[in-house]
Amino acid sequence: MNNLRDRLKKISSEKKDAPKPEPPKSKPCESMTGEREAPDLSALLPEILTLMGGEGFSDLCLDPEDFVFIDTETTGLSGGVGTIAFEIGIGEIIGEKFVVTQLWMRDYDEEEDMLAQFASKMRGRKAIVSFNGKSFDLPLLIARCRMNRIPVFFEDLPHMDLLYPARRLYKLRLKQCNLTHMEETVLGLHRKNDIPGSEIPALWYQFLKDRDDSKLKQVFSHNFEDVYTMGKLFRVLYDAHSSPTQQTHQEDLFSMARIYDKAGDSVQAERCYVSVNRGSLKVEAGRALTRIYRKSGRIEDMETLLSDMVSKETGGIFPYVELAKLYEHRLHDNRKALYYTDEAIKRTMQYLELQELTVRRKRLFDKINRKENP
Amino acid sequence: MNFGGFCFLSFTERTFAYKIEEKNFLGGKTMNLDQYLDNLRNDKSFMSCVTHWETMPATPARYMDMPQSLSAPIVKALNKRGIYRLYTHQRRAVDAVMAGESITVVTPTASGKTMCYNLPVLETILRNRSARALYLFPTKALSADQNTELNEFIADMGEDVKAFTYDGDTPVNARNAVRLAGHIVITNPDMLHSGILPHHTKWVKLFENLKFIVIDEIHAYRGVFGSNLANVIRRLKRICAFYGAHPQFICCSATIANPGELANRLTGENGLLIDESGAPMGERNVIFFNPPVVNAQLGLRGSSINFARRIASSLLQNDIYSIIFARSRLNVEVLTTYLKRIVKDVLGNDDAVRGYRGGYLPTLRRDIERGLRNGTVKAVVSTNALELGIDIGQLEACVLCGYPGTVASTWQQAGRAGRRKSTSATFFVASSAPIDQYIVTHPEYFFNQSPEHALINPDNMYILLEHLKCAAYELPFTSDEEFGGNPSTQDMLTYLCEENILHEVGGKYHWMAEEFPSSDVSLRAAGGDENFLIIDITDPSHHEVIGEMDRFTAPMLLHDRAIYMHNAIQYQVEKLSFAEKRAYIKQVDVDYYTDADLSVSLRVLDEFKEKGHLAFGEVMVSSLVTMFKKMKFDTHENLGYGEVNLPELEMHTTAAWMTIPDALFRDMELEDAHEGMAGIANILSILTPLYLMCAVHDINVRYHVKDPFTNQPTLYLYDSITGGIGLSEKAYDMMPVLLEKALENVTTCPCEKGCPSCIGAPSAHGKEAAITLLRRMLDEQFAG
Repeated sequence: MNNLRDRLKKISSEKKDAPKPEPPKSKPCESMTGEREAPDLSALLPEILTLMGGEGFSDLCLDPEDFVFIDTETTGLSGGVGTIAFEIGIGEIIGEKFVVTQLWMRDYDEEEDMLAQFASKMRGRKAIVSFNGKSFDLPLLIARCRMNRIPVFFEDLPHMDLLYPARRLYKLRLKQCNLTHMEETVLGLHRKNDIPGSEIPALWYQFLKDRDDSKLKQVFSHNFEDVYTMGKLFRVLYDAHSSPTQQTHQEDLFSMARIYDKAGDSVQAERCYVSVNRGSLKVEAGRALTRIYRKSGRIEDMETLLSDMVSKETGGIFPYVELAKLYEHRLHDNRKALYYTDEAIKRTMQYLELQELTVRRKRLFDKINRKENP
Repeated sequence: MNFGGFCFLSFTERTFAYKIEEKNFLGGKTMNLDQYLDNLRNDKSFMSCVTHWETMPATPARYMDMPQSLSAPIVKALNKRGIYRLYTHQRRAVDAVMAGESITVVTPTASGKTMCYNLPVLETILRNRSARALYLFPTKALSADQNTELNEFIADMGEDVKAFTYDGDTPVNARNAVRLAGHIVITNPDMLHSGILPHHTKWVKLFENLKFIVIDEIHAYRGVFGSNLANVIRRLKRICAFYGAHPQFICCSATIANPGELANRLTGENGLLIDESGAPMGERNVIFFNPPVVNAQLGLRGSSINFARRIASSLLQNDIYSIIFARSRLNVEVLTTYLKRIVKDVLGNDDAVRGYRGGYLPTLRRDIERGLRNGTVKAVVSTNALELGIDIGQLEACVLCGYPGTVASTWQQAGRAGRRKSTSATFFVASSAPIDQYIVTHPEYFFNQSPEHALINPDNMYILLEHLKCAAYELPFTSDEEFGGNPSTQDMLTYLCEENILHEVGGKYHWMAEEFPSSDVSLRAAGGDENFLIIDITDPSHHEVIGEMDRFTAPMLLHDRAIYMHNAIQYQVEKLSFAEKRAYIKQVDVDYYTDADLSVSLRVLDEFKEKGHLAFGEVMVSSLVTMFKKMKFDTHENLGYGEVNLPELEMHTTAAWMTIPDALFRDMELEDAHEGMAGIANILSILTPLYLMCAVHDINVRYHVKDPFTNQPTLYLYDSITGGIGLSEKAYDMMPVLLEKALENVTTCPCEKGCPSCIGAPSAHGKEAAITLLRRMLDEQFAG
């Protein structure tokens, strides 16, 4: 920085002779299309779409043509207005085909045209599908449209961001839920020569300097696959949500139970929880089932479930404590309650728990005494 | 001897075994402030320490009718507050703003200045519900304060107008509502810079309809902070223009020498200056108190903390509500502890005295502020944290323990005491620091001199360049655009293209980097230069950051084995890491301090202007610390040396320099002449910050016996901030005044052969020489 002034002086003197730059004008952007077989997105039920976390889907009847799939490649990951999408991949279903249109700009003066073409592709759509588009791609496109004075009419369209349902369903099993990982594990697809997303901004900047678009080809095929995968993933997630008990993996079954549980559908939730039969998950499912039974006053089911847990020695002190509560408050059998309280006391390792149990024990003891020696 | 109702101190024999007799008068008869001051005037021992007692008579209120145009809900809310007329400055402000003008209001504390912006802003919103306003305050605490006041007023209006704060504390889920629905958004410059402008597309509603930008406390924006803010405002105006808005500015300032100029530089607009207050003011007393000399030989005076404490104690015992300003957090704690002892009741409750400083949590601070307003707190001891306009009501007396650093700051602090109708008093208790001694012995400087200039330089190349990046990120530049009217905009944009930060195509400059530029720019420190963190490693299991220091000062004070003082605790530097920008220090208890030898060389790069023997231009300052001395406390004897191995630092900045021709030294011994010049350099280093309203470290003075550039003895004054922020240029303009003041200082200094308050270390002929040289410089119009 020390010689900044010298540099500026030099620039200043060179500028005097240089011709004035041309006035700003917009140039047409590049565009290409590719197609593959379309996933079947016909007759999707609004309640399943809502369950997948799409707000605004509850009373929509959608044809496959109403969806638009969006994924962008950008010049950075910071969420400010200076980050630009230099490529926009737009997927749509036309008859049997899944058609991906890729708009991209060779320089900044093509952005306006690219965004205008994107906006016209959005016209008439009823729903957006993306992967992490709610917090990244869409706000970025909206910001860039506003800066290019292109009217933004698609801001409030229903938006199915697959990241959220995918994460809810697969997080327990897959640990990480990025698109490529799920593509391999869930969809069984394998990409060849894929480029890591973090290297993409530098590639476009490099292209700006050397105008060699051969490296960008990788970016475009990466983006094409991303858009195509979204279509497939959408179908797979939809199916998983519409037949909740039909999961291959125990973790997914449990996750699905939680999804229905959270959505307030305890019938479906129970079906899933009951089918979970693996180790630690089963204990968790047992706890959840106990809660469902208690809520709906199904004392017998509760007793069976908890007794089963006791006989199989799963769930630590949980079934003992719950049985003690059940016998004390619902079935009014203080002696049985006392028995399970004592069993729980034998097994507890925590001071607070022990304190609570001791209080219960004393109360039960008093109750029994009063009843038997009035 | 009777000081404020009880025996103050007894130092008739100057033995200084004086002892305060803190008789507890609680329950006894107390005096009101007028009686208390009368009593003081008759107290000989107290008055012997008073160097000046200024009484400013009461001024009556000047009112004007409320403008007819004010809507009924606003009039209703005003009436509810007992307001049926406006002060003249409020009325002028409302009229000017409603007529479409930008304004700058300069009025004292408690003159109702918030009405100057709230009334026209609310009126406009009532007439047009899509109108928006942006309020900027220098701190989050002030934003919170204003938000409360504004929302109370809005509630009394009974209208649906929404005012929100938007800063780091705003919950994420509330942010969208603020963006879309907030009529008035209250924020700070840092948030505007990194949280709002880089995301302007989310704020379309605000920017499209922005009618007013209110910048309160503009006097806080000087130096680097102000230069940065001016550029943030340039960016803000650019974004507003993009959305088709051209907001008016309403600025408010405390009393400084150049409020209008500062506001115009900050906003880039020519606003109307309203600087006559119509608010009433009771009689005000300002009392300069210099603690007595305890050791005439060494020129040592009694501790300012002790005397501030005595005065504060007596005020407290007379139930006179007061605020005590201390210079450091430690002093706040010490004074608070003393004063709490006085008010402690049988139950141990001592909440009538509270400390208030930066490190306290916001809830605690709010609690103290409330206590001050409702009168349960009788005395508060504060750092300058309470100097800015947080509403604490009006107190009767103010005690300044040490000079706050600037005239403006002193008036701000004194303004905390000052009621509209009754008498108030401010006691300035001088410490032994040279600047304090100068002020207390030169009361005319303080009272006659207009307050300091608040200087900013928005066109500092380095600051400008950083904001140019941020601006380009926010919106591409066009090939004919000038940022803030700066003619070198296009050259700088080309430079950024060459650096691959911007990309020019189709007549526009686009951002082409992955990073987010505003996260690299801190508004409150000089552009790009990262500060050093000071880390206390005394407790190996708990390292604690206790402060930071700029990279040019760090080698001087934080080199390996330096003794570093922080909050009056001694630390030794274990390691100064340049790579990590960290200094690791450990607590020690030693009887010496260290003094680093800094060799500074200046190279003139460009001379912009000259007059007489004085020139102004750009310089490269290279500084290198090579060794340090260990000096014994009290005796200042040299206990030894140590080597320092640190890289040389280079800084490109601006400077004013005076070349001394041989003729000036004519009949003098060369050695004396140089001592005289070194003495002048010392005086200027004390006086210049006073007249430029900057921190002591912001400007440096160096004297070179033979300068390689001028080939003559040369005296340099340079900005210690990369690129300069206009201090040395101001010094260039003010040099005749500075020399005159220097002469006055050295001739009136009571020392014999020199002292830290004038020429520095005593020397045989230095003082005489300095006087002779200054006279000659002035007579021969050295500085034009």
